Amino acid sequence: MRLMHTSPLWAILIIGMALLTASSSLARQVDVHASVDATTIGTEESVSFTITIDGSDGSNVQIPEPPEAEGLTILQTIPRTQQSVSIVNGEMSRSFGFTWVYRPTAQGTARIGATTLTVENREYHTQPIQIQVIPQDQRPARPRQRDPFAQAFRNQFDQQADTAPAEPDETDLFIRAVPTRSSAWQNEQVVVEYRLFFREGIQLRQSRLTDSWDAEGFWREELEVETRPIPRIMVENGLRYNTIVLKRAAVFPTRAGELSVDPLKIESEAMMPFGSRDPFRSLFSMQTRFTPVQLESPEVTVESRPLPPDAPASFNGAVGAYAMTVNADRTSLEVGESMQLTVTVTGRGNLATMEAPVLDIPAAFDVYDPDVSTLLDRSGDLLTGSKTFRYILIPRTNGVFEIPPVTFSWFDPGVGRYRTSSSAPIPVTVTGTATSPLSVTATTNGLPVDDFAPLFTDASRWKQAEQGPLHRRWWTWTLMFLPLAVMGGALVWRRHQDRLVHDPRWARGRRAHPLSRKHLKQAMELLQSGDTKGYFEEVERAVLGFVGNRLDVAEKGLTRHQLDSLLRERGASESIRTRLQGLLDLCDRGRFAPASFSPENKEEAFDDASSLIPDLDEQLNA
Amino acid sequence: MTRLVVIFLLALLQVGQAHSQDTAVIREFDEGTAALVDGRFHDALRAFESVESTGWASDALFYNMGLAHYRLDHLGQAIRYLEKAKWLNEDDERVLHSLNVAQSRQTDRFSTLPDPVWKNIQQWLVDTVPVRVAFLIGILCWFGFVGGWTVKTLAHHDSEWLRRGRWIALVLGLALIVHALASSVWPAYPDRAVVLSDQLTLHEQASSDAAEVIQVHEGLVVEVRAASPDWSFVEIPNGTRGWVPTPTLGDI
Repeated sequence: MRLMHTSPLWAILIIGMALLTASSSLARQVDVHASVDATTIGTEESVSFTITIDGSDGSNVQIPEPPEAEGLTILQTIPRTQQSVSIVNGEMSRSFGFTWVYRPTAQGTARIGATTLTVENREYHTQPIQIQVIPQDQRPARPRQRDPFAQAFRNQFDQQADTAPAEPDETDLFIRAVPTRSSAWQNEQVVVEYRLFFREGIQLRQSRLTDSWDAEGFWREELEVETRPIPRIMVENGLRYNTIVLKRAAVFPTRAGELSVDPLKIESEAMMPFGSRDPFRSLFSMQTRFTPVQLESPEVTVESRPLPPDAPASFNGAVGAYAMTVNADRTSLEVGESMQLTVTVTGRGNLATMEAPVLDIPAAFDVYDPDVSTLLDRSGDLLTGSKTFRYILIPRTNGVFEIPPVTFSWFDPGVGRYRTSSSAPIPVTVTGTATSPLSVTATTNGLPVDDFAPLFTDASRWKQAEQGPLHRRWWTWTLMFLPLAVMGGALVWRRHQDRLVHDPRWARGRRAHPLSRKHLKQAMELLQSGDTKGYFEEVERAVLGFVGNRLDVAEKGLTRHQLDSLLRERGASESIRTRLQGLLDLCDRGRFAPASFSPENKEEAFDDASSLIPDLDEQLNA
Repeated sequence: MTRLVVIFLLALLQVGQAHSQDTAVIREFDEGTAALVDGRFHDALRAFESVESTGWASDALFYNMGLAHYRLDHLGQAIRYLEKAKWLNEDDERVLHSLNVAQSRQTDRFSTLPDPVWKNIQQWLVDTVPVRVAFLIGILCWFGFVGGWTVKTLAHHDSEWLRRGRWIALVLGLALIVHALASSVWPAYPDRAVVLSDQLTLHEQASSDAAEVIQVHEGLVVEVRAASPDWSFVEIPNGTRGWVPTPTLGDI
């Protein structure tokens, strides 16, 4: 809504509003900018130079000096003033302006210099503006100010330009596409705003999109724009324009690389402001003054960067700024009852494609696919909203469980790193036992569908776990090779027996010692029984038998001398032969005169024989 | 005589100790089962693992362990113990049903590579004559042959029937022992394991820096071709092979 100060009613209203908002006006930001109504004019035309003070009602503004100009001459040093009040979205804004009219003095480049303005005791400086002055016959049509002041000045100095209807050119009417950023992370939100710029005084009608707007490689979400937009005045390249937002879209690159957003194209009919005040001319040319125009915004290019590689495990592609909450509607229930687990993610980003966080629900619960609801707020500068995942959990068995923390990760483009939010674990107590509903979902064998069979309450078939493969067990090889040892032993024994049979000399030698021990044992038994004669006979038999076996001779037919000779030939020493002769003499005496022996003498013979036999064995084997 | 008495008493002591051990095992199993019924799955697992550590095994023990793990959402461990239970009792409906339920939650879907003919023959042999049975019979035949030969050698007693018996025992015994040892070294049913981690990558070499072959998920049963404490060389059902960290697997 825009009110012009020329109406007394509006002036009263403006004053009232000014009084109501007087307390806040001091804090309001003041913005000063200079503009012209055309940057290219003919040699016969004039140009209006306006200094606009946004945020001021002009009460504390000193009337500035007109800026110096090169190639232009000012027509009136006292500026024309104008004041306006706008209420947009319930917010009131004011502006105050000074306008001077210049006329070119020569063809070429003219210049309106900078000037200084004092508002509320603060100085503001405007920028110089260049103006091209071209021959009048090359002058393109240009819009005219609807402002009565401008009309009035123009009627005085610019009568010639009113004679023909004008058509808008690209400086009068264009669409500008402005992305919030030209480089973004993959899936980061980029808002593209399409704003229509049209010079003051231009009227548009029957505007429509000529082509479907697309953005390949992006996920697209439309943002709200005003259905009945109020033009906002903006200065662009020194020219004042009315602007309205045609379209705002949040786009999310779905892949890395250079991606393009299609231009926005509209068709419309534009009417340049009336240049003539001739009522007949205006009446008859009304239908023809709307000229068809086609407008196209420039293409928007966004460089999409891939996300860093160190994404956490719970990351599922969300990029933006988020917060997560997890709630359970109950934490105590019975088997077969249901509980609802709600996971809500709120924030800025592409909520539409956001996947549900991965839940690690205990297997004792049946988990159904979540009910997903998305609430998007398209009214702000960015797309925001929330996405809610509602899970239904039904416990199949009783017990105390814990729903582990739900973890949600996203990439925060503001800081360029991944963030993770985790909920607290939720303890759940399930009581009761499985009842009839489970039996409904049983198989023909009575086993539950999609769940484990009941547990084993009794274990009767126990076995020792195998301790390793067979070939690595020691007893395997023992059992295999033990029979070989038995076979070897049997073979040795067999050969031994065979030699005993077939080699008498070897056999007598093997038997010598055991026979001697046998005779000595019998001798001792005879001695203990009091048979002295038998005792000495056995002692002599033990010694002579041993010698005969060792020498492989029949000892009974040998004389003492022959025996001594044989022993000497076999290497027996003199001393041992003497000991043998002495023992044999002792045995002879014992057999024939046993009464002459004391018990000690008798045992002495036994001891002599016991020591003599090993000594003989040693020397004869040497 | 004294020696015989001592041996008898020692034997009685040994039997008594074994009996008390068995009693403890059964008591632990019952405690674990009671905890499982009450929904105290961690307590149940502690009791069952205590039984398992004694070296005793049964289909019921492994099934209940698999059930407890399943309730705790340990899919890999659940499938592992159900496979163990199936190994001990492959005909039990509860085990087979529950194993199907657990495997239905496993996300990997691979075609199964058919076994070669010789593998099928070996498996038929092992199924017909189990390895340890074959070894036992083979050893008995071997002992028979050695006994017959020893008698012949020592007692010089022989006949045509004894000679034939010895040869039959020798050939049969050696064949069975060779079969048993060969099946032990080259098992007809290779060692298997279950993937325990959520996601597991097979590598071309035993290194985490090596090129990735494929990714598999928790609960997949793989064949272990070679293993060390750090890395194992495994084959997934479709025949793809690769190296994985050994701690990410649970043996069956």
